[in-house]
Amino acid sequence: MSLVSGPGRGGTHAHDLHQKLDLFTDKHVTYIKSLDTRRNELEYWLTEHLRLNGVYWGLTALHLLGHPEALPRDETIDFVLSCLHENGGFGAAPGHDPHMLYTVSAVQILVTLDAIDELSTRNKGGKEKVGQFIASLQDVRTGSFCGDEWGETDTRFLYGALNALSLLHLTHLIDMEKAVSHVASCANFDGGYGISAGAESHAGQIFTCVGALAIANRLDLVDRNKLGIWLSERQLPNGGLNGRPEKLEDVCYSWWVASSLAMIDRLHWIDSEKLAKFILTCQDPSMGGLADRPGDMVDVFHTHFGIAGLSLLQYPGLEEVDPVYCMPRKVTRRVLEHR
Amino acid sequence: MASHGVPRTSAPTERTPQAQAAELQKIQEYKDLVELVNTKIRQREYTADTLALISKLLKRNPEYYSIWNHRRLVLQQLFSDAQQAAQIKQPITSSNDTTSHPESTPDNATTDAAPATHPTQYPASEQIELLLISDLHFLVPLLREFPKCYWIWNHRQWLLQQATHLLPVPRVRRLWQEELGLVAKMLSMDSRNFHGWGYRRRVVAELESPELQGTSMAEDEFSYTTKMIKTSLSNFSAWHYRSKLIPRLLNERGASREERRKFLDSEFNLIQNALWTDSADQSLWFYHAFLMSELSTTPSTSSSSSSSSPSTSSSSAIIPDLSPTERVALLSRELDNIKEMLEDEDEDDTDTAPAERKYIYHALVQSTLEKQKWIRAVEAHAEPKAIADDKDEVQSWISKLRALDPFRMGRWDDVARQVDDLYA
Amino acid sequence: MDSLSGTFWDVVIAGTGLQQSLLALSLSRSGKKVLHADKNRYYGGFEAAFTLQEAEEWLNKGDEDSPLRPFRKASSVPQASLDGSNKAPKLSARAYSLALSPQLLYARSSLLQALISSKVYRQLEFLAVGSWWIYVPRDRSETGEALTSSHGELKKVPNGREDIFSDDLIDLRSKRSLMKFLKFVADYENMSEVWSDYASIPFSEFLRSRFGISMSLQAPLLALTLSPVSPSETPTSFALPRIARHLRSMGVFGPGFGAVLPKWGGGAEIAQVACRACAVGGGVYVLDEGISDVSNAPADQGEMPGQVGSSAHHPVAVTLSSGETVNTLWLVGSPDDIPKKSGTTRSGNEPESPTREEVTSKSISIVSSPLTGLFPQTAEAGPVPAGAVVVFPPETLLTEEKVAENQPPVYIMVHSSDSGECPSGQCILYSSVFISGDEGQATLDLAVNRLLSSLGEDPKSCLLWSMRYSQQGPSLHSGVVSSCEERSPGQIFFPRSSNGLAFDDELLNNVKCAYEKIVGSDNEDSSFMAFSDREVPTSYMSDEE
Repeated sequence: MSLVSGPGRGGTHAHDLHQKLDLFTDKHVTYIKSLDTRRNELEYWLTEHLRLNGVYWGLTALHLLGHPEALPRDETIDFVLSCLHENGGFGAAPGHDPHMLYTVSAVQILVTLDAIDELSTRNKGGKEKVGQFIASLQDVRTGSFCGDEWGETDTRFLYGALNALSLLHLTHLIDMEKAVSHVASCANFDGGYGISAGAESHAGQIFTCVGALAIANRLDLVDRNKLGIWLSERQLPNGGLNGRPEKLEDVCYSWWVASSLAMIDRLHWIDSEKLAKFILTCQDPSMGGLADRPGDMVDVFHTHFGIAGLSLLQYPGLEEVDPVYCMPRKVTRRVLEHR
Repeated sequence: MASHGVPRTSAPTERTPQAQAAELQKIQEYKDLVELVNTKIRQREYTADTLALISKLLKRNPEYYSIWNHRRLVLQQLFSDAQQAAQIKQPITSSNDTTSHPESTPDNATTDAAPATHPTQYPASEQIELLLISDLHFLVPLLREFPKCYWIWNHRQWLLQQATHLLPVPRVRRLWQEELGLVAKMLSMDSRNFHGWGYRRRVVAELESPELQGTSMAEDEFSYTTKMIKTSLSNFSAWHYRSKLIPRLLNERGASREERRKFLDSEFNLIQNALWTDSADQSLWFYHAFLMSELSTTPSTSSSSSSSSPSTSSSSAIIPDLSPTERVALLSRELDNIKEMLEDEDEDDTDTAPAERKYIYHALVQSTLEKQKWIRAVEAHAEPKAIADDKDEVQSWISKLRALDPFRMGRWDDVARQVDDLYA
Repeated sequence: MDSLSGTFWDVVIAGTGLQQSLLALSLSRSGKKVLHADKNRYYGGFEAAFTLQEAEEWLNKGDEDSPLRPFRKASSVPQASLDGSNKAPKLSARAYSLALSPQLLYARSSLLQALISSKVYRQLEFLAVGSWWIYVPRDRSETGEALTSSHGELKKVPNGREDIFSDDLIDLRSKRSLMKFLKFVADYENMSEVWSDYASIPFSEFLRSRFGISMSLQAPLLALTLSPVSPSETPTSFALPRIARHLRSMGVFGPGFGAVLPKWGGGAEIAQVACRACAVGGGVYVLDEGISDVSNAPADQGEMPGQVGSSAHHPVAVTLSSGETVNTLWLVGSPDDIPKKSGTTRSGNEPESPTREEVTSKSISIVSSPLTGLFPQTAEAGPVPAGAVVVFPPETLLTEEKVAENQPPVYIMVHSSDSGECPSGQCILYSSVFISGDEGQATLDLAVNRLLSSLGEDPKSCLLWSMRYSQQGPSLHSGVVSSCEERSPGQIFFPRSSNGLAFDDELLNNVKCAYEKIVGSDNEDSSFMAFSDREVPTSYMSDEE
């Protein structure tokens, strides 16, 4: 799954916002399937460090679009496992160092493909090995999580850990209470959350913190009204959402802001119809894919989050997405409701 | 992260054969470099030459996180090499500066046995410092070109952390002090760069730490936020930082109740000044709401109010012990202030953009609701007539909000319900 | 040297003033044969920059009262040394480059865009024009004593929102009104319903009634308009585009400033660079050659090659002051460069009754102090500016007896030595007021003295040298926009240069008008002043991208 941008461009066919826009499902499916074939582009190689994330984004988007079979299952599993290291962590691509971000993507992919067992059957140490790697990255003093042995700390990693461990039913490996209190320490004057304690509120980090609290069943700690206000103010006159005040709209925030709102029961505080329309204008109707905003190059990252956003807004024809896990609801239901 | 804001002009499929061939050539060169670096690392060739190759690759692709890890492996080796070398080359002096290595005798003295000028507690510090500074320099142009790349900021932080472990305190302090200069420059180029602000907090924390013989920099940092705000009112990052500094600041000042009250008033003055200058600015209204929430922590007598929020806002940052009467007075004062902003407004006024007015009405509604809750908390002061009058006003404001800001209709519906509940 | 008359010229340009030089630049890639002549021994015409020596020579040429000579009653007044002892420093004549028409160049101006697109900007160095100041009389000293009217101080004009926020002397309501206006003017073209009724009404009236901005707060906004006439004569339609230009230019080239000045003497430098570009493109330059006669009959030429497009006219015979006559398809110049007797002229439009012309009194003063207080850094990461604008609202220069309804403001452009116009440690004051004759000069003297006093300098001792002159030009105010005029077949006239304190975009329209006549307007628009880099690299043309 390559992270090459383009060739399509969002909004290349000037659509009037008042006109009815379609979701070009087939084009997007074709686009996603084509991504791994673009090895004659330099950018393909320059983005190798995002490969496993890319697979997760592409796979999830395909599921939501109703085409779960579009990527070859076995090859995908093989690729994922080829990124696994001795210590249970996954790198972005074969030969890349293990890191929380890619480990989480790996777990999400395997769970979606219902292939967690492969970790045992292929003598990879089973899911426990992976769980241990993730757990080892928690700072026992503060409850926060690092990305890898080199120490970068970010609430994204905390969320990732809870996401993956809960899917693997291994949350007992970490100190959940400490993790929760760390998230609480990242709360800000505006009800939002940042990368770490003291950091400014940012929609992406808000998603990770609220998601983490949701998984830990501690949404009671969120000031829903305050946060809801801040999140709802992300909607700009063009219908799109930005990530924090004074910034530009970007289709990926259609996910992070909207899912956060959904988790605190405030999704109705924005105009879903206008947002959906905005997301649709980010498509390239002929070459497929979505861009961050009309006029820019498409890529799989924005394709995934745009479609996930549409699903959250209950756009017809899409599979339901889980706002906490950013995975198909069918999958999370299967995994989580079955203990 | 993936591409944001990439408006490229020509699609790859439209490229000429020559261009395609050139690209394949570039791909090969890149892959060869990657292979070379990875091979050297695999073979544990942690040398200065490898470092140079890594630099070449990172300039090409600073997002390739594994290569940063490789770089750190090489550097760690070079640090340890430096330390080894320093222990072998024991300084011999004619003074009674005894050495800790019994095996070195005057006969074994090396030709460049210069006397150590300070104790051998940090034997290799000069060499290590050189390595660190060289890496810090390497990062600067990269940081300028990719100011939002997590990996670059991380590596910088790692370098400074190494300094803290390996170098004597005065040198470490100097290095962190220089970092403050660097981050100030980065923030002057982009005052909303959250990497920069985060790094700044990190730097300040280090400089304040007892390990580095530091003292609190809260006052300086508070002034810094004032400066940044004066440079750009819309600087949400600066207002946010300010909100974080205030509790500590007041505690460190040992501020009395009177002083805290004064401080709150001066912050209100500041934000009023800002709002009167530009009432369309979102950042200002959020900070204003923060100050207002200082006045309105949840009263203990609240009924099933949907706006009650536990733990998070119950402890005020500025004045924890305002009496309900004081709260009502302050809320009323602020309400009057905001209402004044509307006085010049004309219904048909076309030069005030709707967005601006919405914030005013929203602030009015929120503040009135809070005021009402406190009025009820002070039962003796509850005047039914005053409450009822308020309600009509609040509902008229909500209608204005619906008209001015239809996107958030769902929110106004919920607010209207809140009003109904409160005044029921 | 080849005789000029042996060549059949496509274009003869008379005078190397800015407009003509820009035309030459625009033609530099066209392949047209261009002969560019100037009656002076220097480039720049009325936008010339002088060394002290050249300035003295120019002044000594004496008063020519011909109405078509724009500079009148010029006289240099070197300051006497203080007590007879030769304290006055000897001024090195060549260390100065005094601009006859120092104008500031806004970032969002078509001229600057043209300099960039034509690539000649690389040969120019631009410096920031930073703070704008308003003179405010002070009637009380710090200790509370009443002061005479000759005391005052300079107050900085706010650059925008943050300056307004930080100004403790403006009350909250006024801040709000000011900001409302600033936001309106940023988009005024789309809000004509707000101001169209006030278009020809004085701007101060508009500010007062539409935005509630009191008189005392209007001075900064009026200053930004650079209006040569009094506020009561400055209509809203004049003020709005100029304030908009100022605000939109802010920050474009760096924080805290919106306009620049070209180093080494303003318009003269631009003119020279433009001429140079034309020369590189094959243009021929002659100085000390004016036009003595023009006629439409060609001088004994048979074939007339190269008639272009719609210009089916006979070539023009141009006689230079040396006596030589050349033939050209086109002759372009201003009324001051082309004699009025033009052979077979059309009846009707008399070239010498131009639009209502008025006189601006000007002075140039050399000050022996750098006046650094006028040039604070524009912003934290911003440059140290080389230019400052000081505005004296009309009422600040009146003595108690005089109350003139239509008293114009005085403008003083101050250039530091960074501009290259004077040696380090000194600066140049360029003063102007829209009042003619002695009264005008007296007003300028007063303003200069007040400026220096307010900065703590003693005018008597720090004014090293000054010269006074006047400029006659079309009033910016008359509202008539004259484009280029083809008064006779093949003869294109530019209007006389404006007196404006900022380069006027109209200037470029005039140039484009002439350009299109010459190359034919079926050429694509985009080629006007839009060039790619030349093939042959020279050191100053290296691409810095």
